[in-house]
Amino acid sequence: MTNGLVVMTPTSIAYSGTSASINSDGSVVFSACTSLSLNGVFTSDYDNYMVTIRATGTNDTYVRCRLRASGVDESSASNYYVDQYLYALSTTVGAARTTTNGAQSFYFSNAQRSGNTAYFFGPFLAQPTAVREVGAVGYQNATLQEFAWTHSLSNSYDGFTFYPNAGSLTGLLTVFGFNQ
Amino acid sequence: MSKNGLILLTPTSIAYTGTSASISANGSVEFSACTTVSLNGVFSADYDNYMIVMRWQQFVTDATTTFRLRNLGVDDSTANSYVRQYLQADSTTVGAGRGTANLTWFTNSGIAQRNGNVAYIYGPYLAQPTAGRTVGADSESNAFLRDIAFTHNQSNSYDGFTWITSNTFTGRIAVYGMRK
Repeated sequence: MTNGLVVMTPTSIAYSGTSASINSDGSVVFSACTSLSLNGVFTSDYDNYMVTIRATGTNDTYVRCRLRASGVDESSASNYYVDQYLYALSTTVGAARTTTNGAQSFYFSNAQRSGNTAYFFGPFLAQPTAVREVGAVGYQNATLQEFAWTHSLSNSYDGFTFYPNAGSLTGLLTVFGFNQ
Repeated sequence: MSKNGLILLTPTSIAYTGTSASISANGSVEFSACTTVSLNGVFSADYDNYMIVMRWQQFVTDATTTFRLRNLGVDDSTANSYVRQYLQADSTTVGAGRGTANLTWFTNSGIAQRNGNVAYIYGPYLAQPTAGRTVGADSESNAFLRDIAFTHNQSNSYDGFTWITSNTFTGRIAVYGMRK
């Protein structure tokens, strides 16, 4: 019987903010961070990954993500990441697509806890990467916010950085590899 | 006592139309330039519910991929037995629609980048109607979000499925059982 989901312990992390550390179970706890980078979580062992994050922010804010290799974020041009979001806020639905050097990937709120699950498809493969996020956002107590994004470069990445547009985040995240 | 909650499943066999497909040592299926990929013997009495994880690229045209349940190597293509509901975001346009057919839409996909999807299949092996849900990051227009919910009204037991595209796709698919 083969375990389907495997916790990926980062080989190292980097952060800007008050604190961040790797727990003994491989999850990463962080406090008042304006950026958090995980290194060595994507490997040749797995194609696809699941990242779960629960956090609260000092602001209502989009949180961006950059893929990363050997400790360096991929942000070399403004058109490598394309993100598409969809939200439902009370009776209003909305959507938008943007092209950037850091994909909008999550939304966090200062009102309540927000919880997000992101699926990374093929980040370690030297091919384009796709990511899908589903989230329960605490903005106005309950907002449904989802993101899909792609990264066009055919490079291999072993980690990622996420950073809020405004303020800082406090919470915990875990990366899982889908056994294959 | 903890148990693994998500178990990677190995098909008893596969069938495909296209260049190649094979079962990896742990159970996922890699395929190249295929128009259909069928997995047999992945649904069983051991689990009620399943998760399917797919990453792939296709290189000819944007396409909606489709899906049929299957038992003992035969697709169920009963007329009007699958009903699908989709919700999508394409730039600033949000859309939705419902259709009935002898198969269900399963994912959207684009040729520009990687496509990635996660599907949840509820009760396919039970001799009862089946429900499914997919979420994805599709590369049409570089980033496109389309989610699909479907039901199948036949109270039959299915041990597998066929995934179909209108041109060809290349990638990996893996099926996981959720322990009950």
